[in-house]
Amino acid sequence: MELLEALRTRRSVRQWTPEPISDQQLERLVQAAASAPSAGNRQPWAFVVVREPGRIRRLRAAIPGMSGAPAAIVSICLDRRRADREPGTTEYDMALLTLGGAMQSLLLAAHTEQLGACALGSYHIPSIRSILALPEHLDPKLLIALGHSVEQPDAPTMRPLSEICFFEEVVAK
Amino acid sequence: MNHGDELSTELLLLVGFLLTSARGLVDEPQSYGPSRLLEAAGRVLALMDQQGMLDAPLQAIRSDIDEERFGPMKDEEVLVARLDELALRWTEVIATRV
Repeated sequence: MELLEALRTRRSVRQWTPEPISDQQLERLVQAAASAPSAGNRQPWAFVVVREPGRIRRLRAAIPGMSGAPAAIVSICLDRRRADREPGTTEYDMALLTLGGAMQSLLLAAHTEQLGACALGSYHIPSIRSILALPEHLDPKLLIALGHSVEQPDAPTMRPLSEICFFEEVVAK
Repeated sequence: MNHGDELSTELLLLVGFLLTSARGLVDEPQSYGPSRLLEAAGRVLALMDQQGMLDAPLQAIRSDIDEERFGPMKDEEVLVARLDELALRWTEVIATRV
C-alpha cells in the first residue's frame, strides 16, 4: 500500500474478530513505532504489548474508551528516565510529541498489515499501571488496540483544508 | 468455566468499566459522557444476548447501539437525534413488557 493511500484510508477501528495476531507481526508494528523521529534522539518510549486474553479482558474494564475486544493492546509509555524534566517544560512536551509520532507510525503499520487499530486516551491510569506492572519511570501515555477488523468503518467528517491550512500568513475567516 | 461463572466474570468486568468511566469523566471532554453510557448499554445488551434474553426487537436496537459504539464519532446534533430515536424506540419496545 502506498503511504499516501494508507494515510487516506486509515480508520479508527473499534470492532475486531477473535483471530489472534502473531508475535512476529506485533514486533514489526513496534519496530515501526520505534522508527519514528524523536527529539534529540532520546527515544523516550517503552512499548508494552499485551496478548493474553485474560489480561485484555481486565484492561477492557479499565479502558472505557475501548468498545470492542481486541487481539492485542500496545501501551506506549513515556520513559521518564529519558525525559526527566517536569510537565510544562519543552523537553517534556517534545517527548509527548515524540510518542504521538510513534503512535501514528504504529497505526499506519497496522493498517498496511491489514489490521484494524484504534488509539485510546481514555483509561484509568492507576489500574493500567497495576495490570501491566509498570515501574515508576514508565507512564502509560497512549494505548493502541489492535486486531483483525470486522469491517472498515465509514470515514468521519473532516474539517475542510480551507479552514485549517494557511499559506504564508494566517488570514482571519 | 460454566455459564454462571462466565456471567459473574462479565459482571465484574462491567462494574470495573463503570467505575473507571466515572473517574475518567471527571477530567474528560463532556461529549464523552453519552459515549460511555452508550457503551454501557451495549455491554449490558451483549450480556443479555449471551444469556438468550434478547428477542428480535431488542436485537434490532442492540444492533443500532453497536453501530454507534463501533462507528466514527458523530457531530453533537446528529448524535442527539440518534440518541432521541434510540431512547424512544426502547421506551416503545419495553412498553408491552414492563
